[in-house]
Amino acid sequence: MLNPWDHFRAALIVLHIVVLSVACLPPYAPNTKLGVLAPEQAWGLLMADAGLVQSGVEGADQLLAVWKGFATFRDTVVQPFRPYLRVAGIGQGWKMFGNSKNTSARLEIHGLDAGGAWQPLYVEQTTHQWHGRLLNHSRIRSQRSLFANKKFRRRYTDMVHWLAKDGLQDDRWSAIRIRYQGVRIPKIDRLEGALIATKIYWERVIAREDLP
Amino acid sequence: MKAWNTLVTALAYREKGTSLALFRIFISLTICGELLTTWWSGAASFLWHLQADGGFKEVISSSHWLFSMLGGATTSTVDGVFSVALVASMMVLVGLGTQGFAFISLVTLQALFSLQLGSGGGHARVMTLALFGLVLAASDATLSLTCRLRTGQWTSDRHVPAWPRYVGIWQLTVIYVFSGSAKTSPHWLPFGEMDAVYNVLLTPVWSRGSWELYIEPFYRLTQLSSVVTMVWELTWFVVPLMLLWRASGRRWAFDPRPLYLGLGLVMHLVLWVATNLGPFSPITLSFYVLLYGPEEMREVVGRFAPAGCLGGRET
Repeated sequence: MLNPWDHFRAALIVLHIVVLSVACLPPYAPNTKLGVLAPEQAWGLLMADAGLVQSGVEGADQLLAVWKGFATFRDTVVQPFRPYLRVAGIGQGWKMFGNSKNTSARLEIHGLDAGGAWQPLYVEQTTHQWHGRLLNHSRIRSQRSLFANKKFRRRYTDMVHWLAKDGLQDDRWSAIRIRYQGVRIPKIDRLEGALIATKIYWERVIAREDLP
Repeated sequence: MKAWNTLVTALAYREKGTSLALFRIFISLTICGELLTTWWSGAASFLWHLQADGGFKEVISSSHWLFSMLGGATTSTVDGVFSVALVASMMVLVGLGTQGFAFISLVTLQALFSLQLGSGGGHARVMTLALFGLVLAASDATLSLTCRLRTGQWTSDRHVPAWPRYVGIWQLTVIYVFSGSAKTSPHWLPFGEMDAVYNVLLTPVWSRGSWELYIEPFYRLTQLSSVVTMVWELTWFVVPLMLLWRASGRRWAFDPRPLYLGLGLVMHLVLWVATNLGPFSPITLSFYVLLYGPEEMREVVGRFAPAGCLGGRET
């Protein structure tokens, strides 16, 4: 026999499920610097091929407009429930590896020895693993991957100073160099057992005298 | 009205607490493991301490109310919150004062994760939403210290509300189906290049090893994996649909759970071994135990384990 509490509880659970489902719709972040076709560009080209639009660009624009309208609707619906979503720790948009990309970068740290040569201390995915336990931890890796974004460049500077200060405690090094080696993942027919090195990003050299 | 009453009846259903207890154990084990490895690797100190105390930032800030209440995020308040989070998660693991400690664990983890946005990933959210489920669920009716103190046994057949298990199943479905729906890039699709998994495995920031040395003979397999992953995620809703259908007393031709769980297990284990995504795989796999009710679970476990290992006396 159902009582009023059963109905009330069911209503709360249904509300939770609906809010959760709407709030978790994945956000779409167009990214044109990935080295691969953005999804809307690819679908836009398909629409053009099928004769639905004049060009791939027009198709992509139409798809983006539809998605933005949908995202606005979602945000409007979810807005009153934001405090609940925050307290409950739910509401994240899920898009695991939605954007496939073929470019990345490896962190490299070198020490300048007495002979003026740069010696590898930490090079990602090699046997040079100074502070490897720390730098390879998933929380640090995810933090490091943010540095490509200008918003987080200050954090990169902080990390550089932390690593340089620690590295320069070793008298063998007169300076510490920290940088990212850009890499591109080649297509399988050009792989030949190695990623392709591209350019160096955000190189910083901290000498002993630079430290406060 | 009939449909609503059917739903209300389903949500009022009570069952033995085995599935929820196993969920509690796997979730809290994963959280304890994550906290301990974060501390052991030095990442906790690096990310969450002030520069003067070994951290990498001059100032750490958090907008979380807990740190505001504690007078700000300092090394000592962070260490305090971290310790409370660890102890609370251990209490959830052993199943004592579980709902209260799940709430404490939820709040303290949210506070810690707010300190350095971006230091983590989706798995941090999976942890907190799982804890929210444990706040609402009676997950210590069996396989817990509470059960031991109450009955003198580690297991009990005491019945608990089943709806937190259903909500957990729906949560997992949302994660998978929406992840699948975001895989709109042609790199995932059958008419595209199908090289998304290949790219993921070779991306240095995610990859655990230099797989570029070994991947060539397996390229076709990675292409197949790209398509299968996307289809498997997108169609995951079949699992709750089947459960709902069967709960309403209707027949369903075949049980898709072994197929979906088997594929999920393989996918998550490969991700776990080949990539460094933190506890994403174990925390997500913890939800799998919710897909089987306690009776079904005992039947499955009974094939491999001593009789009665998940079942106690009626209380």
